[in-house]
Amino acid sequence: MSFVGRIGPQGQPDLDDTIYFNDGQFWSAACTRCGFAPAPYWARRVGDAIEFRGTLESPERGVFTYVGVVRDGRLSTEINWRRDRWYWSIDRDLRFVGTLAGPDKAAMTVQSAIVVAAGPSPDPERCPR
Amino acid sequence: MHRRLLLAAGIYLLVLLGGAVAGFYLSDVGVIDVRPANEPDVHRMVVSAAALYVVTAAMPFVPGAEIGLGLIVTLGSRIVPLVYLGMVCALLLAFAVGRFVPLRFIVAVLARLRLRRGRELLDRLARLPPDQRANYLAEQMPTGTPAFLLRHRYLLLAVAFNMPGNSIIGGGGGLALAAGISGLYGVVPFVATVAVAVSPLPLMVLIGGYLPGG
Repeated sequence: MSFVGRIGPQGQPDLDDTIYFNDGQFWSAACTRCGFAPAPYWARRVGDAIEFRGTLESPERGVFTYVGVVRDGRLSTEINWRRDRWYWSIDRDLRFVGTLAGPDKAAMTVQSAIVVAAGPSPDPERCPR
Repeated sequence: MHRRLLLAAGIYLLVLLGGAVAGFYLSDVGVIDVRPANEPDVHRMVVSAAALYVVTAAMPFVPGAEIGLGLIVTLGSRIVPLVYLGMVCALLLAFAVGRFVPLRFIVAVLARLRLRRGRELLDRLARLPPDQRANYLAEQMPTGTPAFLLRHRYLLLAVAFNMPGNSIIGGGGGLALAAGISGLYGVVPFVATVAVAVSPLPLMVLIGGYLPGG
């Protein structure tokens, strides 16, 4: 299952992205390019919605904590980005909003996401802003 | 005489006003926006700038506090603890150089770097007996400096570090270097003096509500 939408600052998500859920793992196409590897997620059904949360980590760029909800084929998630350095900590809130994609959109497998995330040269130009 | 004084006060007020207006706009446009995309690059820049800051602020006649303010304007108030640490390290470095490196060698290095005023400062200090080198600092203080300050050399040094325009008499680096050369300042009391003396500006930024990028 995948959701196509945009990720970025809370007021105006501005970068095309796709969030995937498969084999008990979730990942984001944009975040994977920045070294955030797929990770397990937690989900539960609440009425007609599904709540989920999960954490993606990158050795270079910190931690994305996702807390979101899927309702009527639409996924909306708050994303907290945290990066601790010895001299400061960056703590910033981002947002992803997207809609359920057709089966053909789920092109990125968890194996390929792991390979991209571990790649030697993440593409910072296509990371979340 | 009064007219000149009024003119000087007017110009001074205009400079203050200009600084306040420039600061208002710089606080919005100057702060680097740290994002997942550029965070590793910003990290490398911060570490390099901090290392450079320690070395340059340790040099005589370099306005270290102003460079520190520039870093805060560029990187936001969250960099204040690092700027504080950098300034403390810079002053300790200058003190250690003055205390442990032969004066002749320091003069040669400053001459090589073409830091004329720094070399002249050390030349003057070198000509004085060690017990009179601390008095040199007292002589540089403005007339009207309270007598009790002049009698307490650590307090005097702390005030001199915070005196506006102290770069004219050597800046923080020059003062710390002179303190080290004089041999009259103990390492531990000097560290304590610097830790306290450097804190007003960072505290003003943090408590005063200037929080660009915070």
